[in-house]
Amino acid sequence: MEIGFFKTAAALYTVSMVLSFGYLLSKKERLSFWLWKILSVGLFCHVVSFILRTRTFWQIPENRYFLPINTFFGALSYLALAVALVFWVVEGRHRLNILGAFVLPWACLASGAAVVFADPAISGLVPALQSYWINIHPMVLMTAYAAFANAFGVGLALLIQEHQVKSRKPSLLCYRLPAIEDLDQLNYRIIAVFFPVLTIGIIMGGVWAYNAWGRFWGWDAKETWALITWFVYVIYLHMRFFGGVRGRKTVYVSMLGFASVIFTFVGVNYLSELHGYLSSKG
Amino acid sequence: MTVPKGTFSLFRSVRFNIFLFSILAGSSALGTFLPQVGEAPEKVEAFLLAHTAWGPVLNSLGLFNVYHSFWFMGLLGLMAFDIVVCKLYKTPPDAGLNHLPPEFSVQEKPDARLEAVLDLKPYRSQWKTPQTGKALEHVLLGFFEKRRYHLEYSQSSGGVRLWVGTRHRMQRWGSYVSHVSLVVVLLGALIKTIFGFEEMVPVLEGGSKLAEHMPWEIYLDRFEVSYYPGTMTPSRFSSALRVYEKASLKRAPDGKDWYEEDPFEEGRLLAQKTILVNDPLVLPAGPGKLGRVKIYQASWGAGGMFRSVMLKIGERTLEIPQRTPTLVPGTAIRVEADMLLPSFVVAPGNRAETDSLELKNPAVRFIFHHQGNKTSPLWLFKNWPELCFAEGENGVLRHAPPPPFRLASVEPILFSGLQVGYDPGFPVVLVGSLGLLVGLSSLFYLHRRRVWVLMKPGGSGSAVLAGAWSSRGPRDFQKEFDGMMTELKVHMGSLSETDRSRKKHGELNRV
Repeated sequence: MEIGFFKTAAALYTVSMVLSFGYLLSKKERLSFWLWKILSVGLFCHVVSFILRTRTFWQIPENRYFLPINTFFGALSYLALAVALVFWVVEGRHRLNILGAFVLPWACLASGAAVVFADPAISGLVPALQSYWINIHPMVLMTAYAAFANAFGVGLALLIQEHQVKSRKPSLLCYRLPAIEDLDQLNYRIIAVFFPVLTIGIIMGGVWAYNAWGRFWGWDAKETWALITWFVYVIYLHMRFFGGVRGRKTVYVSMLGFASVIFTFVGVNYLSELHGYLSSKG
Repeated sequence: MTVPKGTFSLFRSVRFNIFLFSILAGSSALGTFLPQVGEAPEKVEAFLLAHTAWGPVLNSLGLFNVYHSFWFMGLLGLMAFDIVVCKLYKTPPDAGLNHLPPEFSVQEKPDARLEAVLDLKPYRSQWKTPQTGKALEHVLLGFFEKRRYHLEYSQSSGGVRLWVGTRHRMQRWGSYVSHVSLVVVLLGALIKTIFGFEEMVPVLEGGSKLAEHMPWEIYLDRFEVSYYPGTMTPSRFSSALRVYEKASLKRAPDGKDWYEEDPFEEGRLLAQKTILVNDPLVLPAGPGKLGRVKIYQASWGAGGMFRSVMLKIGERTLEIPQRTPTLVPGTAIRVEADMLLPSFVVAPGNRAETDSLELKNPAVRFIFHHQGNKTSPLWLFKNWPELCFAEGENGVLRHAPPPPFRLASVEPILFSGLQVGYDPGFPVVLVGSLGLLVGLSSLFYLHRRRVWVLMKPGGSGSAVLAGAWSSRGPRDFQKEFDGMMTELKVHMGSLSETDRSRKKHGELNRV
């Protein structure tokens, strides 16, 4: 039943995304209204699916009181939920209306990949994951990743708007998109709010590793790539804070940061046995 | 403390910092794509064999041990040095009065008039009020206290008074604290590198082994592994341990190995516990050492030894201990089981190998003895009863017809991989990490605002000039500043309640 709810959520995210593109390319305000409503229902279905999955997960005694994110399906599902939820919060606060077209594709991609590629079967936690840290460390990191997906969307909107402003014949998009300064500020605010979250997530991983294996940092591929992501966002913040750089250049760096996030989440599974969702070790 | 200008100018440049972070990120990434000695030495060897031309070049550059190479350590050290230099040069503004906005220092504008100071503010407002003197100050104090601003009286020169109100003053320390904390984290890592150790002690069930760094003998009384039903996914590992400290253990002249002066010494029992993953055994590190040594359940496996195997011959089952030729009942044939491979694979050159120490595909080698002759060894599989390989004298495998017997079960002697770790730098890393979080949180989550209010007596009242600075962008603070100034004007009697309401709804332009 939880899979049914999850597929419904994925479908509603897709409908929201289509509506957000429709809103971006047309002048119909109603589309924005329906986008918001449908996304809210999608989020509700997703949360119900997550609760049901957790209940099933807890039927295995060793899994009790831990969250079901030990598989690729579970991780993708939580990531999609976090992307949609962060977007919902950002959009609710700033009411840009157009942001959905740049952010919701990531929620659709994550939930769609979970439906198509990942095995939804529930499995028991390997001994290393039977720790309360599993309820905190990956969730915190994935929430930061979801926020960076939102920042990526805002950055993309900025680049498009800048191109529109510079072009001699700006299209309708130019009037739909917010001002470059607003987008730049929002991009920065999202990164600034979630950079400490990324940091705390990495530190929590170190403390967990120390409790489980006696080392805070082991240069495993996953932790190394999380650190690389951290460095890229450090570069972004230094450029803004101390270099006074704004606009396109910083957006490129934030996009590079998000590319690093994607590699940390997906690509590293092929490099790390310890953290890989494709491995039973851990 | 301030370092003179011009000193270490390279390290203070933003460009250099960004370059350094980029190099660190890039070289960290490199280590994830190339095999590393600490993680997979066999892969490094295979890489060097496969790339004879440039493999040794990469090796000489330390690219197979990136994170412990001299140049990577040097980069981390350079980052720490860079942070120290930057933060020494640019300490946060002093905690006392600061009349100028943070982007201007008093040294740069020593003769700045107070009015000129306010010209520098990105937010500005001015008006006249009928109030003067103490009454006006009282209004101002009440106004800022209600908004939890820290208010400081600046100076009175020719009747001009300046008040500076600040909210979230701690924010200015955020950058400083987070940078210094990062150096503390690196210091903790350095302490571990110098004084700490990590070692893997594999102990066979029922056996014991000496630790490398401590005069300890670790006994593994029992190792248990359980799986989720119907799967090969382990659900629990546990090792029942006893740790003895042996006074007669002395270092050999090479300084590495131990030798026992009294081989019969039992030692002093330090501790005993059944450890689990995430639940280690914690022991004091000994006199003169800070912190504790922990013994972790890190890995496990089957090393090739077993107690016995069960061979099914027709309806009979024969138990065969390892390397003990056993008579097959009713025949003159003796059968011997000499080797176990826990995860059998056919390696290049058609040789038997194991690709893991976990019992993924257990296979046992049998040799049959008859009248003083031996047959070629045969490999039988627990999971594949129809499969059989014969092993030639040179170790080359070839398929053999299914034998009239099969391997029913094997009882391996497992080993537990115990990680013994001592990290006196961990508390330092933890303190640094907490500092980093506090610093980043105050830097990004606190919104520092500073409002300057200058009051100049004139005519029947006073002229008020206000300016402000915010740690966030103008779009975040402009609305708040406008609202505050409107409120202040009402408090000072410069604006009526009706005007305030109209202004709030955008009907009145700025006063």
